[in-house]
Amino acid sequence: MRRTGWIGVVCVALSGCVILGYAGGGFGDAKFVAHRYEKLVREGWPKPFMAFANGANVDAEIALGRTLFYDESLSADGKVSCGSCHTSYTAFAHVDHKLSHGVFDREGRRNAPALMNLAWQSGFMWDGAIQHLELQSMAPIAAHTEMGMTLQDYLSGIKQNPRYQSLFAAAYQNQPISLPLALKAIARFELTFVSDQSRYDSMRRHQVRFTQQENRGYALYQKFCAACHAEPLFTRPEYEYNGWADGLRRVDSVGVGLSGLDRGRALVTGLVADEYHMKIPTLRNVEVSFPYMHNGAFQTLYQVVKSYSGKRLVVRGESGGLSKAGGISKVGGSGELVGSGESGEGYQTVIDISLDANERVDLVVFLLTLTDRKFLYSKDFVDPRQSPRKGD
Amino acid sequence: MMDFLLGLGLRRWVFGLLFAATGQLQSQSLDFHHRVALAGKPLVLNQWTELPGGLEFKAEVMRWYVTPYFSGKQQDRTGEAWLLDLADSASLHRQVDARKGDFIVQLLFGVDSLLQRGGVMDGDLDPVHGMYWTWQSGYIQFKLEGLLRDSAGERKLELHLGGFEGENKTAMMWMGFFLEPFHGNARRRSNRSFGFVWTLDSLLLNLGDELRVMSPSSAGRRYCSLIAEGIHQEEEWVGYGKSGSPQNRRELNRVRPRNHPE
Repeated sequence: MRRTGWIGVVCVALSGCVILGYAGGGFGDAKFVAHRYEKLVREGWPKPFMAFANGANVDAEIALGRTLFYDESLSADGKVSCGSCHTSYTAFAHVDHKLSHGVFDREGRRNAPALMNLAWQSGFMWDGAIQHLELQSMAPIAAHTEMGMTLQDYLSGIKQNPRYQSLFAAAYQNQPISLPLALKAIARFELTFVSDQSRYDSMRRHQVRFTQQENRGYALYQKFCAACHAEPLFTRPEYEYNGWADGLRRVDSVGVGLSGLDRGRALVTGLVADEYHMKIPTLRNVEVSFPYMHNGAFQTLYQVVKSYSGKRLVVRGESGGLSKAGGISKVGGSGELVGSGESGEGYQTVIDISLDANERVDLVVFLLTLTDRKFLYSKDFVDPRQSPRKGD
Repeated sequence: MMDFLLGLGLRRWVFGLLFAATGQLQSQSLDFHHRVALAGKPLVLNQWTELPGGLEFKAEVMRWYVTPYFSGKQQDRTGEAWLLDLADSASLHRQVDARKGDFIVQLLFGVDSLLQRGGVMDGDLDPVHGMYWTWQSGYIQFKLEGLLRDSAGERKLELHLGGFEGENKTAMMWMGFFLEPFHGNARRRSNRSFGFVWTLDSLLLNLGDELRVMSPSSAGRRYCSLIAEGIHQEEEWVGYGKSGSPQNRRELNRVRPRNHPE
């Protein structure tokens, strides 16, 4: 009886081992690349879509990403890198270029957007075709008019460069060099592009006071601009039509065709309601990121402000979705907010913009408060082959 | 003590545990086999196949994605997708281990939208495999390249089908199965094998004028539906589900085309 009792105990113990074994098991090899991010938190800012990784090698990842970002050798003619069209001292825009030029001087079809606060963005490119920052860099790498590489050649170029052996080893230890790791490293570097040290931010933190003119411009911004360019990011994760193609619309089923019109978001979704809609660009550092609009149509801020004056804008969503973006919750009154409510295409907010010459100047003066010179001149963002600048 | 246990009818339970402790029953192996057929014959790359009506087809490239789901009481999932390549026979045979309690398998034609939005992936989902549209988020769910030939002459066929946004969402298909849950008689826990035949007849006999589809489009959506119509389960299902009645099991055993529910 005692012996059989011990057999029972052993069986029960074995059953425990088996259960633990099951509990620890899984379905083959999970291929999900873990996204364990430490939250990027800014007081008064919305929750970011992405944040930095918790890992101990984040600095090494960023260093790797920074090197890749500025490596021209990884392009078809060895002359173009991400940094060629995204220069740090102009908020990573391609200043003074309506359309950027890539390998073999091939010209692109859209203006290179400024890059900042990317952790708070969920869609990338003017039409939001890319839905994740880690995937975004593949677009310029593979684009015929940008870096002109195949992904295979890009990876081969990395593997053949001895410098990357040590950079990858530092960032990812024993993992072999791969395209996903390279793309993740570039994204890590880009996540560091955080701009929150402008005069506007100082005003929000009660460190400075706006001048009277800046305050007037701020009020005009809240009245006419904030529906799309919502505080504190001065953008919304949405796509809007600002009337740029009015009078020019015609059937163009192949994107930029004979009519020269760019169908924008509709190229991605196929929805008529998205025709000519573009991603709302941030106004932060707008002083240095000219020319403006998806096609670089305007060279100066005054031209942009003037172009909007007299326009009626129809913004999708209640109050332009401001509450969603964590900014102000109401579009300013005094008759400019023509109306809002359900329409055939959903909830819309209609805004008539009216600005006289003085108001345009006031508005531009406010926009200049969004320039973040600490961000623009940070030595953390420049080509690592450059010497730090004086005063950095 | 032992007599007492046996008296409770636990003999099979005890032997089952001992059997499992050898390591053979830690998990259940699930084998998934895929093959491609055209006109009732296996499709072989770079060989002409004649279809009804005088149409001939020669495939040069055929690669596509399948997303497996495994779920039970805890609604687990793998977070992976399989890239199947007709040129790589090993890719057409996949083996995975299901764990205790995971007794439902579903296969999705294509990469599910959660994975599409999940950032950069490695393994079968590594973009370097050429199954990713670099200019927009999105995997190419199905790639078929080859030549068509009929009395009118020879034409090139290039189908890169996919898309998961707006109007361009591609039609997909779920294939659901109950598996044997991990309890009961250990001796019945044999490996499970599932075979699928991807017949391209419906697709090739119903092609429209668009023989070159390289981006998300209505034609791509239609072609995906035609492909989904041609998926058949090849082998009889051999397991049983604790929570499923025989009627339910027969229902699940069928390949059921439907749009992605997300």
